Order: sequence, then C-alpha cells, then structure tokens
Amino acid sequence: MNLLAALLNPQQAAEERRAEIYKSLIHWEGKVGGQLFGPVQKGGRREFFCLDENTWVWHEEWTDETGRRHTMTTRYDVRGNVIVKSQGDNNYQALSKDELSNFINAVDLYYQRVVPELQRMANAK
Amino acid sequence: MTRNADTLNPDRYRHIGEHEIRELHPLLVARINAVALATEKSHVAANSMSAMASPRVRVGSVAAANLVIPAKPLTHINKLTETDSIVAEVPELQKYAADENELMEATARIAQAAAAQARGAVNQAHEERLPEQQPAASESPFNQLQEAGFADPLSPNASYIEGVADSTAAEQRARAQVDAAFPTGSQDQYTRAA
Repeated sequence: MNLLAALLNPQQAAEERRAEIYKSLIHWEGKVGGQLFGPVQKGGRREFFCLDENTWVWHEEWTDETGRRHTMTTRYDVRGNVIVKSQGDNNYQALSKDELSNFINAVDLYYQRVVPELQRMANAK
Repeated sequence: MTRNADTLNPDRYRHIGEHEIRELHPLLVARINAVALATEKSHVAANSMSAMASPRVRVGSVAAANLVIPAKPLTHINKLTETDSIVAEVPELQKYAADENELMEATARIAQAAAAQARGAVNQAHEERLPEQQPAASESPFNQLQEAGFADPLSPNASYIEGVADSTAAEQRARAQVDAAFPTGSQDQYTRAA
C-alpha cells in the first residue's frame, strides 16, 4: 500500500501493517525454531514455528547430491488427544513413538527460546 | 543480553514508529498466548498418545484423512491412566480390556479351583483321622470351662463388666473394713493393715 492509499484508507493501512508485523514475528519464530534441530545444510533452509494454538509447521529446503532442490513442509495438527501430521497433500499420518518424542522436545525448546523473547519485546515498549 | 538479542532487538523495530508500539504489544501478547496454548495442547495430546500406545495399541491404526477426535478438558489427562476411560474412547483398547477381563476371570477360576482343592484335601485329612485321635466333645477347652461352671467367654451374654464391678465393690468393702478397724489409725497402721 502506497502513501496515497494509506492516506485515503488509514484503517486498512493499519490492518495491513499489523498483518505484516504479525507475519514478521512468525517468520522470526520460524528462524529461531529452525535452529533447534541442529545445523542446517549449506544452501538449505529450515523453519519450525507455531502457526496457531493447534498447528505447528516444519519447513525444510535442501539440495541433494545431484543438485536437485527439495522442499518439504510438514504440518503437525494437534487434535484433542492426538497429533497428526500432513506432508504435501492432505493425507494425515500418525506420529511414530520416536517422532512424537522428538516433536514434544522441539515444542518445549521452542517455548523456552521464543516466549521469553516475545515477553522481553512486549515489556520493552 | 540474550543470544537472540541480535535478531530480536527492540531497536530493530524502531522503524515501526512510536505510534505503532501500542499496536505491537497486543500482537506480541497474542503470539505469546498462541505459543503457550499450542505447547500445552501438544503436551496433552502427546501424553494421551503415550498412554494409548503403552497398552499394545498400534498408533498407526489411527491414521485417517477425516480423523476427528473430540477435545477433552485438561482434567481428562489425569484420568488417562484409568483403563475404563481409555477403553471408552479407543476401539483398539476394547479388545485389550476384553483380554484383560478374560485373564482376570481365568485367574479367579483357577484361584477358586485351587481353594476348593485345598478345602477338599483338608476335609479328607480330617475324615481320615482315627477316631481315638479325634478329641471328645468334653475335651474341648470351652466345654471344659462350661462344665466347670464358667460362662462361654465368647457368648454375648458374658458380662465381664459386671465382674469388674463386682471386684471393685469387694475391694471397696475390704477397704471399708480396714478403715473401720483403724478409724483413727496412722499411716503406718493403715499400711500394716493393708
């Protein structure tokens, strides 16, 4: 939204600005979350973040030996008493015992790393 | 300074503008709440899945595209160790519970059979005793006491309270006699009399 549009519709401009800030916050969380699983391959990209109160997202990009680029987005849905994941299409799969253990460890670490920083920013006004 | 200070420094958001700081705060609070809620819900679900997985439930069997499991209150997590509450929700556990019931019933049947066998062995041993080894009715300690004029101590009519009261009255009578014998006696006299 350019300056003229913002002047003409300040409420919409403010909402777009809030959405942009919110997105940048999640993007930052994704970077912090991506560091929880160890080093990322050179040229690779990894993000792990909490999308909302029921959804966690793990996005990974890497290049294999042949130079082919891969992208994988895994979505973890918390549905009451069960956690299911979907990759690519909407085919839900249950988590294995090890994956569940790793997932909950990552969630704990994410909380420990992200929430204090958000609180620090909230108190820094 | 924390290790993330370089990536999330409040100064970095200076371009947001002072007038927007007030608007940023609710967004931060919303993110904090979302992460906290997601973490809590994930733990509840993970604990539930672990509880379900432990008694031989195949976790893979719950995979379904339209899987819908109703959310439970947080207090439900404390009940997940109770077999019946899990059984009510997880079909896989119903068979497990049925097996458990069969096992319990079989164990009870075996225990009852063993007890009956033991009782039979005892009865047989009694029956095989020689007549002269069996005590006569009068040899029973209780019978002997009753024959000697004592009441059955296990009888509800037996009154030990009355006996105690009688002994107390007799002691009081004896003391009264001693007092009467030494109405003005000294302590030494009383002691000698006692």
